[in-house]
Amino acid sequence: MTAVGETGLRDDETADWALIRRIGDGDEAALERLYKRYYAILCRFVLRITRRPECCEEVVNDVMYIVWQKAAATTPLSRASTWILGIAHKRALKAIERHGRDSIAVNDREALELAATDDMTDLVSTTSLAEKAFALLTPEQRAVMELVYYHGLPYQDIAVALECPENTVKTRMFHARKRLRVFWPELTGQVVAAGDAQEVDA
Amino acid sequence: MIEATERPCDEHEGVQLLLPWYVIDRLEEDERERVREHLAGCGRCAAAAEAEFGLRDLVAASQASPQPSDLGLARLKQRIRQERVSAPPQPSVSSAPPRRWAGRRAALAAAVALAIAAPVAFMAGRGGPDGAYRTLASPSATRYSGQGNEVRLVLRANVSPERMTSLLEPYAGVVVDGPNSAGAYIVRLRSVEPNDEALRSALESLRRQDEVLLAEAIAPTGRP
Ligand SMILES: [Zn+2]
Repeated sequence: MTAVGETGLRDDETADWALIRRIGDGDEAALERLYKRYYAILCRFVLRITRRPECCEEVVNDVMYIVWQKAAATTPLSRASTWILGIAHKRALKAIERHGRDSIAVNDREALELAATDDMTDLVSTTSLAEKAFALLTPEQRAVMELVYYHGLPYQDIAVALECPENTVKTRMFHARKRLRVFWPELTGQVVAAGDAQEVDA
Repeated sequence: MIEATERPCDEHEGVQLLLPWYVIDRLEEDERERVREHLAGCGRCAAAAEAEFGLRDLVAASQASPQPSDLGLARLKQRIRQERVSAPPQPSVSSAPPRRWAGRRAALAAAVALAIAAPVAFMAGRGGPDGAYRTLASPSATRYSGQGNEVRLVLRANVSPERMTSLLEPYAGVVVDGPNSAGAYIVRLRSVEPNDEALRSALESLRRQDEVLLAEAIAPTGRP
C-alpha cells in the first residue's frame, strides 16, 4: 500500500481515488490512510520547494485539510497523486510567501562565488553539493525537477498538476538545468561540461 | 561538435527540451524516436543526455523522506473536527464547499466576549507549591489548583514570548508553571469562566492557532 521508493509514489490510483471518495463522505479513517500514504512524499516535495524543514508539517497539514474539504467535489480526471501534488505545490509556494525566501542565489555568478568560498569538506558530500545547487533554482524550478526525476511524471501530467501550459513545464526544466550548469561536472560526474546547454538558449 | 553546427538550432533545442523525459522514458513514441535519432547523430546532445542521467540519479537520491508523526496526524484530525463542530473556514481555503460547516463559531464568540485585555504575566519557571514535577505523559502528576480554567499548553519550539503573550491575551492568560521537560506550560485563562463549555470553546480557539501544538484542560483530581 505505502509504496514510497526511488521513483516516488507508485500509485494505486483506483485505491487512492476510492480513499478520496470516502474522505468526501467524511470518513476520518480514510483520511488517516491517505495521510500516512502521502506524508513522506509530500514532506519531501515541500522540503524540496521551500528548503525549509519547519514548513513541512504545516504544509502537509494544509494539503490534507484541503483534500478533506475538496474530496467530495473533486472529479478524478487526473491521477490522484497528480491532484495532491498540485495542491502541495500551491501550498508550498504560499508557505514561502509567508515565511520569506531563504537566501537563494539568483545568478550563476553568485553560484560560482558560493562554490569558490565553500569549505572543501562540503564539496565532498554529494548531498550538500546537490543542496547547494538546488538553492540556485527558483521554487518553481525545484518543483518541476522533483516531479520529473523523483516522481517520473510526463510533462503533460506536470502541466495538469501545476495548472500551466506544457511548454512552460519544458522550458522551466530547461532553464533549471541551465542554471545548474556551474555545478554540472560535479553534479553529474562528467569531467567536461558535457551538459552545457548554452547554445540552445533562446 | 561538427554535427552540432550542421543542424538547425531549433532541432537541438527541441530535443534538449525533451531530454529529461527521454531519460525517464516518459515520452510518446514519436517524440522518443525523434530524440533517439537526433542523439545518434549529435555528439553534443548525446553528451547532454548522458549528463541528464546523472542529474536524475542525484535528484532522486538527495533527500530523505521523513515519516509521519502521530502529533502531525493528531493536529490534522483536531483541525477537521473543529471544522465539523464550530470553526469558520480558514481564509486560505474559503473556496471549499461549505457543506460540513455545521455552525458558525457561536461558542468561540462567547469566549472572546469574556476576554479581558489584561497583560499576560509570566511566572515561568516558578515551582508549584508542592514542587510537583510533571510530564505530558503523566497528567496525574500535575498540580491542580482546583480552578476549572487552567489548561496545559504546548507551543511550537520557535514561538517567541511576545507571540505567546498575544496568544494568551484574549483570555487574560497567565503562565502559572512550566515549561516542563516536555515543553508544556500550565496556563490560567483568567477571563474564561471555570465551566466546561467556556473552557472547551477557549481550548478550541487556541488549538486553531498555528503555534499551538496541544491545548487541553487539566482534569480535576479524580478525572483522567
Ligand atoms: Zn543536438
